[in-house]
Amino acid sequence: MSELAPAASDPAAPAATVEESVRAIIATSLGRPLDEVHLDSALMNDLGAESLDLLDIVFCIEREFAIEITRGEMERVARGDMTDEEFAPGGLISEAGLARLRQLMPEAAHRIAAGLRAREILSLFTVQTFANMVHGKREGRQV
Amino acid sequence: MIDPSDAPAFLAWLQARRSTRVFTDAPVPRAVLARLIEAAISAPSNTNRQPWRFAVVRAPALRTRIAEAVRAKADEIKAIIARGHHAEDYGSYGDFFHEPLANATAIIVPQYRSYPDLIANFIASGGGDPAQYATASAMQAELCSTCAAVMTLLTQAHAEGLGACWMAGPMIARDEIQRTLGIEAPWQMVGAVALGYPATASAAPPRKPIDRVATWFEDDTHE
Repeated sequence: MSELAPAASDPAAPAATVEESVRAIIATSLGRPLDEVHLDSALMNDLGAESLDLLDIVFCIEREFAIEITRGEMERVARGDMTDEEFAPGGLISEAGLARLRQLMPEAAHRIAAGLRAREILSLFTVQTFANMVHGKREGRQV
Repeated sequence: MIDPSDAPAFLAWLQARRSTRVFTDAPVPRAVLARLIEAAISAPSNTNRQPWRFAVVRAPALRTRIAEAVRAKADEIKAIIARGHHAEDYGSYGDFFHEPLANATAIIVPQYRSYPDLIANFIASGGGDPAQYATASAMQAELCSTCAAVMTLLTQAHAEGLGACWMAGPMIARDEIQRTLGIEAPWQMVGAVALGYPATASAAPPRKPIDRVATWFEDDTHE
């Protein structure tokens, strides 16, 4: 782990440490210099992550923070509790779905626009999205 | 000989190679498989060690035994993962480990062996400390050489109109496969190649663009 994240596994670690640890994990996983990895960097679009890279990152984050992140939780981060039909009928995200996305992923709001497809949701995930999941888990919230 | 003016066309041909996982029932003639091995052994190797061997399996019952060994291990792993919270992420990964082997009409199991590190021994013979120098063992040179041989084999398979898939997945049944094929130390299998005539056309998977994989040094301003 980077020297930026010495106390990340400490539940009492300050919020800034979570962000910095997540940045360091993502930089290491993707082989990117830390200064290229910003909280608003989109993992797939800005940092060139592939879907398997996201899994690598999830495993690292789980180990670092002693938490569990399921695929269902990752999807809920983006879509909340909406049904498939409400969220993305035919795969295209509805107006209500886009509104929910903007609400749940404000860090990616500028990328959320009409025409977005459900399969593209992972492309919205930023460094901050993962940090938010860690915060949610540590606070006992459903993420 | 390929004329240099045909190089762009050759690149396009190389780029058309796919990992094929579904094959017809048509057997691959022994002569064709022999050409694949001839191609493989034309690959470069460190100090020309040629640290490779190949088990070429055409026998149906033996192929089935290999595929079944992989399937059994894949099922075992799947059951473990199903107890955790990433079962959904794992999905049907395990099926990819054995299905290409199960419908292949030939399986090639490449093997490599390590050799003593010659340059390290030379350094030691002069009273030096080999640990202070990165030598062939620092890059697992014999493994790298064997991988080059497998790539050459795959290229020849492409030229023969065969489909092929070189897989790491069968490593989960390494011990069973090595026992079945009589692969003993110092030899070690390097995955397995499923082969046959393609039943379907495979879509081109995306490739990382060259600006993400190549760093260019074209002038000396970086010094």
